[in-house]
Amino acid sequence: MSEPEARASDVELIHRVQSGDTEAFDELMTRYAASVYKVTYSLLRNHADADDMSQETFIRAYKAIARFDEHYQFYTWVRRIAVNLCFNHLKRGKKFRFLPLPMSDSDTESPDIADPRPQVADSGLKRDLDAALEKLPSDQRAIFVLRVNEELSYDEISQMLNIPVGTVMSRLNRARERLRVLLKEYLPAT
Amino acid sequence: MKPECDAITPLLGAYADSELDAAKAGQVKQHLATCADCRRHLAQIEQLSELTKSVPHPELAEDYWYWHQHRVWRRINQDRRGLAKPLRRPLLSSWSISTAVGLVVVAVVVIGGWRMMGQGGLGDISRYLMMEKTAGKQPEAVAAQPKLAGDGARVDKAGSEAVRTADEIETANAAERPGKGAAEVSGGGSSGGLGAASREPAVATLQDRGKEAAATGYADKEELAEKTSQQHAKAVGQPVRSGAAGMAAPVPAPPATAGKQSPVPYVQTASTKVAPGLVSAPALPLVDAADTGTAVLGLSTDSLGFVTRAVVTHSSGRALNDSIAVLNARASRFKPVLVNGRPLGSVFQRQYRFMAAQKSDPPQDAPQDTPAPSRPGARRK
Repeated sequence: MSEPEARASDVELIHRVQSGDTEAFDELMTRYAASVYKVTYSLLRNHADADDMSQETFIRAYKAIARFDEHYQFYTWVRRIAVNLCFNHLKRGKKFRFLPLPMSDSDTESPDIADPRPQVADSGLKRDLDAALEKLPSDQRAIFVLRVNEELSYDEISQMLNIPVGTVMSRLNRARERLRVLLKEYLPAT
Repeated sequence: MKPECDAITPLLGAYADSELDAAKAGQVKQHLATCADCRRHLAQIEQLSELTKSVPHPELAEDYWYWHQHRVWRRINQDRRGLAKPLRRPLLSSWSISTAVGLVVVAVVVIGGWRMMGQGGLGDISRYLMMEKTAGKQPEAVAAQPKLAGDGARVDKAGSEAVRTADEIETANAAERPGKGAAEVSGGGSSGGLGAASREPAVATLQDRGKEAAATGYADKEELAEKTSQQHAKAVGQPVRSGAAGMAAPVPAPPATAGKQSPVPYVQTASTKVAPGLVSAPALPLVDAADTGTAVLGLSTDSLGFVTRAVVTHSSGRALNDSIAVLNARASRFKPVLVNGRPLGSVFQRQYRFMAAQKSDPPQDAPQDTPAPSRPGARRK
């Protein structure tokens, strides 16, 4: 599907949500929930927080949809909400670290309760990358993820985080330098 | 490392991201041609990006997104009803609130007494009360709805236009009318119309009045009331039934853009007796042949399609099945009925049929006479 078609369709759904059609919002969630989760997971590096923040993103979006500016794409808008939520979460969340508890099989015996446990190969690389990203300041981590995972331009990151482009560049450089040191065993000198 | 590397190194990341202008990119390219250290540095920056992208994201359960949506709607519903737990303790304890209320009452009595004394003594109590009553008179559109004025938005008697959000009004309504919910509007419009049909525009009117008074600084309450009354008449897309004689004739439906004025789905206003369509529901379990039966439930849904009340109106003959039907209903979500473009709650009945398990039936494919849930993703086995 070409981009303009997809966008028009989103706008139509947004109009329906604004006039009270909750199913239209279901459709928007179906389309973009996975992408939003991807952003939140990339930033937060654990499923529980990413799950919470992606839900919160759609709750905020629903509450604010009456004010949605049609000049923007819906995904751009919700991604911005998600990034801001994660950014704030990272800033205030340094005090607490929640470690995942192992779940027993009996926790998911009920047929009505789905098992949301993410299946991730807990490779050494993943563990080390998560640990390295954890050591970055929240602003550097957000900028690095937005550039590398989301492939946003410096200008887009600058607008999203409301900082100058030069600051984006310098913080990204610092993040890369730190990660280069922390993950040097995975970066063979060629 | 060469001396000029210090100037080039900070540009390598932007060079890898193609974010440098042509002049600087040319400068970096020229330097890279002669400097092995910077080439290695650039290669590591590129490897770092590849490495980061190569780490997979969690593989989620098939029906994860169904539950994700369900939790989003549940939170929205809780927030709307004011049931969401506050993240922080309220600043005022119940003790300090009651003390404050007590002080306000004392102040009102003292000031009122002082004013009465100044206006001719206690002999004028009845005249004073009449004056107070007149001062607190509602504009026509609102005054015609005694039920709302009594248990709804509680416009400040002194005439100050309290600015209250839709959520606050709804929370107050919910708190003050436990179990009553919104009054019903019959499909034919024959019964019980006053409270429900008139509540919706009245809530909007009160909101608008508060916001408008705050925004425009209306000093003259009567002027604002008159303006509000006219807007109210325009906003109501259906005839308002009232005990008062001479209510306005039906007026045209509001323009399509009216829905953009406020987050419409956020206000629970009235109910219809039209059964809404099912959006999602858990499957009913299959039962033993001896336990089959059909339970009929009376359901109430709100303007978001959530079930707010589920009662057994006709038992299936098995208490356990009845309980399961109630739980099933409470976990379901319906598509709200739209009236004049506004979502309304509904009051309706629904059958829950418990079928016997066949040997060949897998447990999760329970047949039922209710529409199949339109949930994305299959249930996890």
